[in-house]
Parts: sequence; structure tokens; C-alpha cells
Amino acid sequence: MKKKKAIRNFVLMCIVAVLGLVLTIFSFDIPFTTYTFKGFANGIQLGLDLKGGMMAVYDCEQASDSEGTLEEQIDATIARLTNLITEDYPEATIVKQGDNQIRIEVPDVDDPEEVLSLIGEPAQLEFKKEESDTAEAVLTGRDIKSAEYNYDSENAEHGVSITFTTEGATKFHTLTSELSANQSPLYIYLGGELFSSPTVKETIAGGTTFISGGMASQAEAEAYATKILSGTYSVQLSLSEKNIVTATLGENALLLSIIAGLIGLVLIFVFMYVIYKRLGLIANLALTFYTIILMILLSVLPFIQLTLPGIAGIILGLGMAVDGNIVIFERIKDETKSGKKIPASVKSGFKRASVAIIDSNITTIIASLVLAWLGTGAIRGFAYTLLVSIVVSMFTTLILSRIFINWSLNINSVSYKKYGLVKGDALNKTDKEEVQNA
Amino acid sequence: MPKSNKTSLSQKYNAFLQKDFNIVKNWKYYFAVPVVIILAAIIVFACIGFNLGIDFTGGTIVKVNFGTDITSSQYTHYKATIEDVVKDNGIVNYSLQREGDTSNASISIKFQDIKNYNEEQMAEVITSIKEEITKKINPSNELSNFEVEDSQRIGASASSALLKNALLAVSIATVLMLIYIAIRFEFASGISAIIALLHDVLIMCAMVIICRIQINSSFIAALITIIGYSINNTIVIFDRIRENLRKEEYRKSTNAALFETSLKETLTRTIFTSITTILSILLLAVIGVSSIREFLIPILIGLVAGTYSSIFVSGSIWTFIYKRSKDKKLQKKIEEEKNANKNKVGNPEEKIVV
Repeated sequence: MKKKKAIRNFVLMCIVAVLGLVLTIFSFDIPFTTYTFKGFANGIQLGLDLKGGMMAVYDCEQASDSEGTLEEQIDATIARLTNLITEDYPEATIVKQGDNQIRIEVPDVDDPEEVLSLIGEPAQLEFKKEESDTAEAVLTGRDIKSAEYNYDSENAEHGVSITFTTEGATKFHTLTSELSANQSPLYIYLGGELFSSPTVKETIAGGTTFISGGMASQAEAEAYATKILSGTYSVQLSLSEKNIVTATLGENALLLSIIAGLIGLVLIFVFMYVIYKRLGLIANLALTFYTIILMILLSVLPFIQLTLPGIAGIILGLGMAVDGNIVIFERIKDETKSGKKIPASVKSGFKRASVAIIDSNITTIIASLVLAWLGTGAIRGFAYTLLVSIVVSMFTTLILSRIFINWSLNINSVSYKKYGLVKGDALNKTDKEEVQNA
Repeated sequence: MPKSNKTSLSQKYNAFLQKDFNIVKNWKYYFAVPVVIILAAIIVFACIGFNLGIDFTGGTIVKVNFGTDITSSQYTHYKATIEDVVKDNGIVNYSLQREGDTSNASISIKFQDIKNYNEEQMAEVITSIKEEITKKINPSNELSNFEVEDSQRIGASASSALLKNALLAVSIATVLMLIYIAIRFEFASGISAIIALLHDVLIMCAMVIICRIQINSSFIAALITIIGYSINNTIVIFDRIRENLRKEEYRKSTNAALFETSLKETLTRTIFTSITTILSILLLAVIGVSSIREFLIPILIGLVAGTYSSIFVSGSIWTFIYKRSKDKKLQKKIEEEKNANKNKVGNPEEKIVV
């Protein structure tokens, strides 16, 4: 009975694996509906190096009243833009071009406007005491640390929360205490035009404020927040060029990598079967699941963008999954050589090998976590991919392989030859150990 | 394959395992190999420096606008023409990229300054490149909107800040790995594993300098890949050492003998795993495009260095610095065994050692 059930399980798993592979690789129209199913592998976001994306160049102009050299200001602006853009597009690169330009590259984006709307139409932000174009600005964009959408539930109003820098907070405190004394309005200018003029009712300390009124919807308030934030750049930006670019590694890079990966996978499958026979087949089934699960996760997880180093991460994860199986099978071999029966060898082999596998995987996980935490751009992307690969690799090796082997033992647990194992002398020391343990 | 052949191979392998490897005894020879490689790299570095890529040095962008759509065969043709012009003008490091849309296709050329050329000389080179491109692609003005844009300097995209950041991340990762290994194993294993890791990284850098491979951001990514991966080989061997240390039969053997036994017990795995991993990466390097090769060759070097260090470097270092008397976990285990044996005195049969 057990045997029948195990065979049924295997047949089921093979069907799932084949189905999984089909769903991973192929895209097709779903019959009787208007929907198209997109293969998991097609859903993976690709980096600029593999797929291309958008690029834009901004000219930088020094704001009239600014301090410091243009170079310092451009650096500060790049830092600011990097923070802003990488939040939504982690693989974006923002670099200085020439003496007074900033170049932005974002992979896998079809419409440059998607990204450019984030940067906004940059405009200088000014807080003034009087309603006049020429009046001196008490606070400028450089005093603002962040601006984001917020909802005032008490008055049911959409608005923008502004956080000032330390210096800005002091300035804002002084300004509001001055204005609130005579209940006069604060004039907020954006790009030289009066944006709003709220009346200051009280002194505001603490370095934050909430601007509301006249913003009809969340979208409008968010647009204002972007505008204000874009006014905080140290330099005035104007778009000089935007364009769509093709894969930087060359058009065929991805296709060739996939072909190489598949050939590599097949060679590994053959190798595992030749060396480990039925155990090898089990490993191959587990490796197939590694590939499918990984592809699904990579396409589903929003923070993953696949780049060339990421592909290396996937291959190394596969390498570690293969390694895990080899470590286990070699252990099982050792155990049977010392005279144990196959089921007992599998049990203790797994137990002993698991320690080594967990330790070696955790060191890699530690490395990838630190890189994901501290790394920037492509390094962070690589760390995420590696992390996901290792976790999936551990799962398929320690759990799936084990379940499959146990099923296989229900089918046949006596043929050393079929498992590529060597039978050792029966009455051996380790066998005695086993008796003791039992 | 005839069966007898196969058995003879496995017999040969078993006979090989019976031999003394004497890795620890001959440590000087095995350590000499990386030292020689690193020294050679230092000499090469002192004489001609290293080959920094455009990511680090910055360079020039020249953009060629066609003013109209181009077919992919046209693109291939233009690309080859431009490549020839760039090479003929003495540029060594360059990359071409297709840009633009259907109404205005363009190719942008990124290249690095020629070594030892000053600004004026480079300006001459750039002017001549631009002129020649126009002459070769659009000699009689048949592409009416054809234009070679003014060249622009591009800053280093892999700035020193990025490098510093990567270095910081790697240092912290290394320290955390050291702590983890020290807790799970003991301090000597941690130190030896980290030295092996350092070895792999140094060898990668050395080989890249010797082979004049361009150092760009994909090399940094390759280094980081190896840092994450190469420690596994060492861990598997150290895991076996940890296990064997607990066995009574090895209580009296030397560190060197213990390491050698553990190495032999895991050697099949080391060989199989190295074969499969190196093979997969090699395949990708052979089949893939040249820019991918640039990234994978350092990784291959790192993988080979990692296998070498796990066999010939980390074990010897461990042998030298590991002291059983200072291994608290081991001492505790021995203590427990003693107590257990005392209690078992009544049953002498259990104590027969085969």
C-alpha cells in the first residue's frame, strides 16, 4: 500500500514539476477569457544591463542665492535624487555628467515620464514674509528635509507634511513666532509663483509643519508634495534629454545566458544521475522545483530586479542546492559503507549533513543580508537575488529532497545498487552504535 | 563504458585516498603559490598599474543620431563601422549602445581616454572620430537628419563613494561571518575561514591585474559574489573536523592528522561540487556575450582560488592555531564522557575498543 501511495506521489510531483516548468517558461492566452497568462520567467523585472530602460539628462544651474560651489551642490542634488528615485526604482543609477549635468538611468521602464514625474518639475521653494517676487526668502528648499502627503482626519483635509532640517527648524520657529504675533500670512512661493499663503496662528516648533487648504484630492496633494520636494534640490534642474535605451550588455545577453543556464542544468542532471542513480533522480526533481519556485518568487517579489550579477547569484544558489544534495548523498554513502541499512543511513546521513548545509548557507545569508542593508544600486539588487536563491536552495535541499527520498524508500529500501550505494560489512562498530542509539 | 574500467577508476581513487597528503607538513610549498601570484601582481602593478574601467575613470560620450529609423541589419553594419573608427583612433576601452526611438535611432559611444594623453590630444582624437564617422556613414548626405552630436564628458559612475560603501559592507559582512563561525565552531576555525576568504579575494585581484582585465563595477560585483560563496567549501571541511574532534578515536591524533582525515572524508564532495559549479559558470562564460565574460572570468578565478584555499590554506592555518585545551565545547564534552565512563565502570564490555 505504501508503495502504491509513494508511486502515486511521485507521478503527481512530476506532473506538478512539468506544469510548473510550462507555466514558468511559456505565456499564453487563457481560453474563453480575454486574459493572457504571463509565464513567471517573463514577469521578472530586468535590469538596464539585460533589458534596457530609460535615461535622462538634466542641466543644472546654480540658484542665485545659494552658498557653496556648483560642484558641491550637484553632489548634494545627486544624493537627494538617489534617495528619491531608488525608493521606487532600486536599480536606478544617478551620476554626474560633464561639469553641470546629471545623468539618470532607470532599467526596465518603457515610459520615461513614469520616472520623471517622480523628480517633478523642479522648482525653487521659498517662504516669504511679504507677497512680492523680489522679497527676500526667509526659508528655501535647502531648509527642507522631506515633504510627503498626509491626511488631516480632524478637518478632513488633504495636505502636505513638511519636515525641516535642523537649521530650517530654527529658522521656521523664528519666522512663525514673528508672523503669529500679528496673525499675518506666510507666503509660500514655488518656482517664483505664489503657491499658497496660509495664516500663521501660532509659533511652530519641532521642525515639522502641515500645509493644507485648496487641495481637492490625495493625488493633488501628492503632486504638491513632489513639487515642494523637487524645489529642495540644491540646484535648479532642467530636463535636457530623455531617451529609451537598449540592453547595455548587448541584445543577445539575456537569451544566451538562458541557453547557457539550461545546458548547465541538463549537464548537472546527467552528472547527478550517473553518480548517484536513483538518489540523483531525486536531486534532479528537487532542483527542478528550485528553478520553478525561484522563478515564481523573483517575478512576484517587488524589490527584485534581475541583473547580470543576479544571474550569477541564481547559478550560485543552484550550485549550493547541488552541493547540499552531494553533501547529503556522500554522507549516506559513508553510512551504508559502514554497514548500516539504507533507511537508517538516509536518516543519519541527513541529520549529519544538515548541520554542514545550514552552517554554510547561513554564512552566505549573513553576507547577502549585510549587502542588502548597506549596498547601493546593483549590489543591493544582487544581494536580494542571492538571498532569495539561498533560502529556496535550503528549502529544496533540506525539505523537498528528504520528502522525496522517504517516498522512494517506500518503493524500494533494499537495493543498494539502485541508489548508487555500496553495502558495507554488516557487524561493524557503527552498526553497534545504531543499536545503542535505538 | 566498460564496467571494469569504472571500478579501476574508483579503485585508483581509493588508493589515492590511502596515501598521505602531507598538506600541513608541506605548507610552505602550498602557501608559496598564492604568495608568488600576489608578488607577481605587485610587480605588474608597480610597472604598468592596473586597467581601470570607464566606470571608475569616466570618459567621453559621443552620440550619433541617424534622424530616422534603422533596421537591425543597418544597425549591425553601422555599429561595425563605428567600432572600426574608434579602434583606428587608438581607443582601447569603449562600448556602443543603441538608443532612441523609431523616428530617430541613435548609437551612443562611450569611451575611455587613451592612456597618457592630455586633454588637447584627446580633443584631437575625438574630433577625428567624429569626422570619420560622418565621412563613412553619411558621405553624400543621404541621411538628411544625420548628426554626430558634440561630445560630452561623463563622470565616473562607480564613484569612490560607491567603492567605499561596498568595502564597508564587505568588511561588516566578514566580521559577522567570523562571529558566526566562532560561535558555531570555535575561534580558530573562524580566523582560518576568513583568511581563506581573504586569500580568494587577493588572488582574484592579483590575477585581474596580471591578466590586464578591466576593473569596473562588474568586477566589484564578482568579488562580492565570491565573498558570499567561497566560504562554503571551508565550512564543509571544518564541519567534518568539528565532528571528528568529538569522536574518541581521534582524541590522541594530531591536529594535522585530524585535518587530513576530515579533508579526505569530504574530498569527493569538494571535487563533485567544484566540477558542477565551475562547469555551469564556464558554460555561461563561453556561450555568453563578451560583457558577461568580463564578469564571469573573475568569478571563475575566485572559484578555483576558493577550492585551492579550502584544501591547501585554511586547514594548515587551523592546525597551527587551534588548541584543544582552549576549546571549551570540546573540554566540556570530554568531561561529560569521563563522568559517563565512571558511572559505567560496572559494565566493562561497553569499553572494548575495536
